[in-house]
Amino acid sequence: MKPLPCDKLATSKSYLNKIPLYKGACTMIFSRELFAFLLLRLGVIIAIAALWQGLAWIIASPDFPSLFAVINSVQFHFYEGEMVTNIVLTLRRVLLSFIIAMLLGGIIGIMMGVNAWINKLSDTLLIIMLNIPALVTILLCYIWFGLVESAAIAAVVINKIPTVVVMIREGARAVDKDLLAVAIIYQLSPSKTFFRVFLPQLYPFIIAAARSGLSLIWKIVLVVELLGRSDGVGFALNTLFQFFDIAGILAYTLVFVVIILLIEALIFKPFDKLVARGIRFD
Amino acid sequence: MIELSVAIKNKAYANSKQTVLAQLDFTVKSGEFVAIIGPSGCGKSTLLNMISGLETCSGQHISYNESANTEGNTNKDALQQLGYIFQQPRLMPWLTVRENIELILQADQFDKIDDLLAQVGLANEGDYFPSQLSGGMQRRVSIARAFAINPQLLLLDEPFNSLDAPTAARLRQLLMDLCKQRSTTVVFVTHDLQEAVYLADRIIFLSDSPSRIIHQSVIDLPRPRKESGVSELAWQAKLLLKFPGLLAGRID
Repeated sequence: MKPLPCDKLATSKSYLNKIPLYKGACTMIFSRELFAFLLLRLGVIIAIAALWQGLAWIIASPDFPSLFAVINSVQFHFYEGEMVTNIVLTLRRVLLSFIIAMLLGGIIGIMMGVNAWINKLSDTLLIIMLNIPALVTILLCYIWFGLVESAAIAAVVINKIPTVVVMIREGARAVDKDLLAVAIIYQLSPSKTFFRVFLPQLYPFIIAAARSGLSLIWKIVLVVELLGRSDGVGFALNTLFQFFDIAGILAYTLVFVVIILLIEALIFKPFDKLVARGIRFD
Repeated sequence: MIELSVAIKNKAYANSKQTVLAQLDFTVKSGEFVAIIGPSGCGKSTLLNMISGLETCSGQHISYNESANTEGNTNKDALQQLGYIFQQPRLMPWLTVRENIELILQADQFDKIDDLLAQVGLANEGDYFPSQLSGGMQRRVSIARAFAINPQLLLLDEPFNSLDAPTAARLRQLLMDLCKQRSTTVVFVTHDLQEAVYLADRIIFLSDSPSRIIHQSVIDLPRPRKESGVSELAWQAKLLLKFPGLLAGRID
């Protein structure tokens, strides 16, 4: 086919050609942006650390250990204690329940958002689930399923699913019908329609659910461990509490917070940027 | 090639009982370019949605190639290649221009995308996202997408609305060229008589909602036509002198 005369309407947007698109996006996400992000975060962290150390000097009480005491404790638990094992175990529980909760919550949320009948049927149940205290679910899971690993995971998952459902459902309700009409007209296969037309519209909602999910899940996992497991960070904290080892408690908290910050910076932030670029309606 | 015949009775809006299309019967011959003109809100978009099968109603009878059709059903299988250019470009914002076209094609047809993009003058823009393009360029992508499947029937819903006049003129030219190359059957909805006279073989005028056909005229002007050529403008003037209320949906 010969190009038509209208070929000349390729307007003079040649400056666009000079932007290496994919490369540009990637380097921005993984170097300069990340660097600026880390620098800012680092400043805030140093300020908090200084404040802490200053307060510890002024108060000078064994109940408020200084930052150095806590770092010493981190060192001690890291080399002498079972900190690594406990953290790995807790992280594994967090990861496992996170994945299960996101998958199940996502599927249920999409179904409720798309189908008005399913939504009507399960809406009340959803509100009930949202308002059952985490502690009750945990206790019931342990009573019904025994003090086993699967009961612990199930308890966390049941706590998290309703909040995922609520967010994903909103996303599925807000899906652009006009774009779905395109999929119908051009007879896309169901899988193409789902993964390339429907699901991308949910990414912002999925990310919101994932971020709020991670923080909620690791807190619940600690409670679950405290109540019915003999390992993990929650169990360790309970033991430290019984010895009034405040530096130890803070040491565990510090390490775990650092890990969560790293997950945020290295996984969620770059992903956020990708989504922000893709879903720009203008 | 494909022939389209439409018979619709009492189509209500999707979410209400208000009738939008009272009675419409018309056929579109194979390779014919039919423009449909009606006042805003008369159900032009609804009509296209019904032809495409996006919307249905009980009293409809829409068939392609004269193949008999059961009441209330569009025989979509008979129509593998339907192109629909919407009022808005409706590109997936998370896919690049090329990916947007790849989306609707099978993998073995990807090699024709370069040709298509060159034809709509976007040879170098394949890797951009829709948000990086101007409104007119986005329209061109949606035109390229519609022609990517080699449509037998092409539906257009006021596709050049809200574009500046020169851009719209160029896109009309592009549309004409692409349709001529492929002798596509076209149903083109607009409210712009001048545009219709420039593009179409025949114009169907609709009344206000609930709408029915109030007039049809075959445009017997030779091609190529001019957007505001003397004979084109004279043709419009003659029509409007005879039926002053035609564009408002009245025939006096």
